[in-house]
Amino acid sequence: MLVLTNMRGKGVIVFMLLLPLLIPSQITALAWIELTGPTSPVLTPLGLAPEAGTTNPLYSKWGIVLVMGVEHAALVFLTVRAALASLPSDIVEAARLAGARPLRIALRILLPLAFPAVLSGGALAFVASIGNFGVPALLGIPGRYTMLTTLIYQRLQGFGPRVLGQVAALAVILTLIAAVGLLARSLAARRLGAAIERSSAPLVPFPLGRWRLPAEAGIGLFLLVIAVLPLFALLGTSLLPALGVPLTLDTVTLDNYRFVLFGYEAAERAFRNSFGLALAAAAISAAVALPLAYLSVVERRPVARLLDVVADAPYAIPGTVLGIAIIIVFLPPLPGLGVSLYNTGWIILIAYLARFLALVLRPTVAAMESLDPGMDEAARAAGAGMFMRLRAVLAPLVAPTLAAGGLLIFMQAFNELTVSALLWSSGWETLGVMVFFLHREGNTTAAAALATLALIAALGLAGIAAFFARKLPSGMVPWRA
Amino acid sequence: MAGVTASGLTKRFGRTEALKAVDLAIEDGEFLALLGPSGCGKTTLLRLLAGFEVPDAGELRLGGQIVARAGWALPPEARNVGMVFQSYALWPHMSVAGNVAFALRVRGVAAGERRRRVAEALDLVGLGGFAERKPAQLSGGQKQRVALARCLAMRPAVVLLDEPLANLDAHLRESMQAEFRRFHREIGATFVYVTHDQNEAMALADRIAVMDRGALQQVAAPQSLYREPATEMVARFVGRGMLLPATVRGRQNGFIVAEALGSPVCVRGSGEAGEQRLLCVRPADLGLGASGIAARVTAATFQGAATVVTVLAEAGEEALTLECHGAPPAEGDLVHVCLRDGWLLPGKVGA
Repeated sequence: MLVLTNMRGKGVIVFMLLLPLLIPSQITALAWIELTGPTSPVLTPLGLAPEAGTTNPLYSKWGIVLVMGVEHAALVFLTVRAALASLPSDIVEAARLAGARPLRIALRILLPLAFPAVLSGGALAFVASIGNFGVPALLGIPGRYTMLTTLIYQRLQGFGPRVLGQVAALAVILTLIAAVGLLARSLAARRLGAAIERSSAPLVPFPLGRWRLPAEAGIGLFLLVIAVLPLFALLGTSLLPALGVPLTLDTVTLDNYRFVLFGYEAAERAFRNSFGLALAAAAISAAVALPLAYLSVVERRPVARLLDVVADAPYAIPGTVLGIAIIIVFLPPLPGLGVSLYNTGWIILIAYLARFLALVLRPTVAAMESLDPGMDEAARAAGAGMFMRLRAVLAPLVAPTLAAGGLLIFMQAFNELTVSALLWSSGWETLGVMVFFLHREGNTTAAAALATLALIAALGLAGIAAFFARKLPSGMVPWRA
Repeated sequence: MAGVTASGLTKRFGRTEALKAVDLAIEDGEFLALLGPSGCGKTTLLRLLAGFEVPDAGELRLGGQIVARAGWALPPEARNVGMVFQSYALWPHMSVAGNVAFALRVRGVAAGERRRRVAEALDLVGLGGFAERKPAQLSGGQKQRVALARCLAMRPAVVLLDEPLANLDAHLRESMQAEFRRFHREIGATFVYVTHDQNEAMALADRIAVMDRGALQQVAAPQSLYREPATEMVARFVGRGMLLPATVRGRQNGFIVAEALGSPVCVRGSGEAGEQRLLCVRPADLGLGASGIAARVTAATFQGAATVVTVLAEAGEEALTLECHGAPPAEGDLVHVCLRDGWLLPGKVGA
């Protein structure tokens, strides 16, 4: 509907819809908890909050479904929007000449054409949900509703590497389920690609006429509830001295921020760790992606092509599975060195690299493929060797893509929880883990403050990323929290 | 400066043979055009000369030195071969001077010498004042000149040009053709120029190599290529040649007398009496007259300077096209076509 009609403020609406994707899932979950709990700073003043002392209604199966639904709806929206945007306007024009009115065109022509995209987006949301850890960790563990990812986490935390065999089996099951989802997606995507030939200009929006204002208001209200209110609740909670205290001008305090920034060493460390790890992951990924993309695209080396596919795999399989795999590989001492990387920051860095490399490799490969091969060949004819060509010709040409990809990795890694929850150790806490722990310890106000800070950092970067986004190929929006 | 010699050069892509055992000798300092329809293998041959492709069989020499044989090729960066791309392939992040200087920087030419040679190359192509511009700020013709200057600044032994004028409009193309001839005279390097435009090839080249389906058809100077095509393909491709079956009757004053479409004609070539051959005639060789081959007009299309008339001979199935400068006949008229010139293809029919 957004694509098809002439509503105003589309940019803002799209950004708001994508907001849940940019916010890491543990923070989304925390925000929703704050919104709907008995002490909600938003609902209490309205008299809508559940009674004090009752359990938060979100600590349940339906709570998880709701929050995951909100978070991953954006994925479906993105795919469908891309599909509708690629439809040529002449199919609509042909329908109008045949006498069909806009509603009929939408139902009989556009909806069937967009259906594979709905399926594909749905499958994507399914895969993202099955591998999601943040939401079930914050909602399911207190609600005693176990999901595969949290089961793996609890087992490993409770019993240590002894149960590795057991959790590996669970991880395989998880992978298989995710694989089914990915298969469904590629099937849907194939139908999507074959259906339409791109021939003419994109769709022209339908005028909404007198329905424009109500439609805009409806969407606005919907967005307010799913995107804005939870964040306000999070912000509100972070400003409370303690849970249960009503939020008024008198009770507002910055103590929680002071606490997480200066009063609590582990939180401070988490900031430093996450910042360092995310920066390193982004820089190394970008540095590796350039020659890898070059070899696979320009030189067409089979080994690099294979690596290119392999680098995509960790991105497609759930983070929990990747974490287990990394533990299994790196728990034994490194051959030759006799040191195990387990319980150090290095193992987290390796996991981040494995998980996020595709984020920069994919767009870099795409950028190289769209380059004129003459660029490289002209440099070869000029006598430049491979290293020289990479440095002087190709690196400057794909630099915007590399930078944007690196930024994306930084944003994702900065708030990463799924993998870090399995791999962290004392002294190597990450931000995501810290938010999760503060909440579990009952220090919800501090958790909210830390989450707010992390969010501000991530959204600030998102602003920079949006600046680069025009140079990224479409469809490169992060869809994993 | 170097000549190029290819012997038995073969290149396969999967199951298709893009180049079939090509033998070609290009002399030092020659301007050779590779001409043929798209997909004929001319670009593959060029890329083999540059070193971007590795041959599957045969041998390639550059100035006497072997640079490629089956399964091995000296990489382009080690060949001192310059190339001008159809897309120009200017590096968009470098200035004009930066583009031209790149090859010199790679070779470690000292800064002073480098500046001098960049200025010299830019002056040669008439872009002296454009050194600091970025490629995006140039017109198509200017980009073309920068691409050429970039190639010439490195003083290559061989300059390869891959349809360099294909992206320019017709008017610019003509003036650039004259420029290319001038560059070639001044530089003295061997030029190999790929094109599918026969007029371009004839205007530019010392010799033209015509290719079709991966095989070399004929290598000859433009005039003899036009006047004396060696194969059916060359005859049809160059100058809109038409082919008529003819029977050799005998010789007369250095010409051959043959019979085509039921009428005796006097043509160039060689042959023995009684041979079945193909006769190549062009629209300009034909005219309407009071006597000659009887034919019926099937179409007459007014094209400004002349009317193109298509006729069908009474004695054959070949449609003939000719240009009529006088009052054109109407469709369906019976006319007589006279033949002013013709060339007997060397191969016997069916041989």
